Amino acid sequence: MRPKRSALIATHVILATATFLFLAPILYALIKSTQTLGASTSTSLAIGDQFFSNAFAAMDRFNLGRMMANTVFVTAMVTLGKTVLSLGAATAFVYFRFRLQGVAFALVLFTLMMPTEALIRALYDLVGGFGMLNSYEGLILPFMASATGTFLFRQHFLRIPRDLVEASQVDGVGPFRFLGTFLVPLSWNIIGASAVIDVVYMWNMYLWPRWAVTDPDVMMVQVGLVRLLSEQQVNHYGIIMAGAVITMIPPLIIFMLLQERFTRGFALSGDK
Amino acid sequence: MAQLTEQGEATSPSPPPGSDQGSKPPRKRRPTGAFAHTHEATFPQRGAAFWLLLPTVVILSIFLYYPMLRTFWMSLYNIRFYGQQRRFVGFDNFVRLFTDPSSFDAVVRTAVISTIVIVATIAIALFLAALLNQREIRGARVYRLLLIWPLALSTAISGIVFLVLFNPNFGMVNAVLEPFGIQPEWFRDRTLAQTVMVLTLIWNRVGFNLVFYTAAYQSLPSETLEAALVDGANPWQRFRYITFHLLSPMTLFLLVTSTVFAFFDAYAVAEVFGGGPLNATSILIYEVTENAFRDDRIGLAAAQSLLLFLAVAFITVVQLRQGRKRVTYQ
Repeated sequence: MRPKRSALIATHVILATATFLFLAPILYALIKSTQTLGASTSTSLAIGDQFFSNAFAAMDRFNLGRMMANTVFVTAMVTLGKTVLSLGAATAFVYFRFRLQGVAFALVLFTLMMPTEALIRALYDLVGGFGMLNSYEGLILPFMASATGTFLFRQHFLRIPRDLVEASQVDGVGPFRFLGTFLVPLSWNIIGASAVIDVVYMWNMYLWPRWAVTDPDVMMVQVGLVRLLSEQQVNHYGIIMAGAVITMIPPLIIFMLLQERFTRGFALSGDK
Repeated sequence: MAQLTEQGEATSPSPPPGSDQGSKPPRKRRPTGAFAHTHEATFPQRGAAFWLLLPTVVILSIFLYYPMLRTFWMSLYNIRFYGQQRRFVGFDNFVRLFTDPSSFDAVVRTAVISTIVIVATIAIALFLAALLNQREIRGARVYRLLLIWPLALSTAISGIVFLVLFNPNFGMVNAVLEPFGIQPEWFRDRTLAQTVMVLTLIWNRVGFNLVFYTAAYQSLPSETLEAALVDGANPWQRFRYITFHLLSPMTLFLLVTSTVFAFFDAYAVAEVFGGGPLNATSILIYEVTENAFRDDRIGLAAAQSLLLFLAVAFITVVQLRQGRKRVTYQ
């Protein structure tokens, strides 16, 4: 049954309007990033030719290049660490039986509801005590374990038919090789899905890196850009917007690479 | 966690009552939910389980459980001079949250702003996902890719873009409004500043929820929907009585993630807006950092943190409970 033509047109009108509203601020940032100092603090929406000089100023003069690299590095390390650790934890929960397994699982599960941000002062004192403020370790280590990832992989493993698992056991491989050669190849969709969640999470992260790091050489780019603005180091909005535009590039690449896998990953896992 | 590797008993621990170990009844009878032991161990070597689990347990204990306990402890004290002096005050800090007018204002402000953000991001995403997932819509993939673009911007950077967009002197919004003769001073008026904050957060987050709803749509059982079609249900009835129910586990999941976003990630926008004017955008998590790092009120900050934590915990528990008794139509 096809809907009426008018309903179809109405749908497209709504979707096009929504798309325009969601894209407008980005288009605005893109236009501003190409303008000169004078134009960037006017209502002008003319596309200028200053993008590369603005971007270069942001990256080089205001150190955003270095900060961008920091954000990419920290995000990559956390995503990798979370994936490896939660694959391991999920394997332990599904393919082993040990005492206190229920307690251990509850311990992991309960952290779903413990946002690090709520613990900011205690975490700050703790990481400070380890001497890890102003360091990559301080930005990476607290976020290496993931209840979400463990939960997703566990759900996925529970759905892998036991016959398949038993067939893979004929050769008597050990648990670590089983994980590497059997489970991982069956889990790429879920790995992709959880990687997207981790990347978005790290990319949005602000509260912790803002307080844990004051050294510009370790600072993450989202913190550095706000600081540029609030300390009025720059009043050239072209440069600020060029900085904002550059930070969009890595996540856009990730989305394009992982979008299909992500959708399929969740479709396969059924719920969640 | 040393017990994890304890050698000894060769038999696996007895399963909780009701789990389907051994006799393997059909899948539907699995009432123990998240904690069910679903089958026998594949590997008898329990030492390996210890090493697989150790890093996760260590990290969570050090960086989540310890700070959590420490925050509880701090909330019971009046801590001054950055830890040099402290006095046990019991639950005074919590009482203050609700009796001190300015603290209570922050609680109310946070509740209002968060509720609007949570409801709007979920409703808009669900609406767009429903439109995009009608089988006949052409270009759905393109719309979807463009709609999730704001997700590529960090929340802090979204705040910066909106600050410029709503700048009363050269922002685009006032340029558009100029022909109508209105030039609002967005960041001088409390309600207007809160409106911009809410818009920023909704704009930044709808894409996230849309991605998840899209994924959920792909796993809907098409037989159920086709059966409804045969029964003559109109599109709205199909959505209201079937799709909406089938998507409810996802809605509950997004309710939790959106709450975390509105409580904590919103901090970045509050800071870009400086918490002002007159504390209008100073939501609880912003107050937490002000109290914990600037105003030397660590105990109060801890109590405010715990209030946020309890709200998240409550919603998470509701989600997990609902998730267990999920409705199915098969």
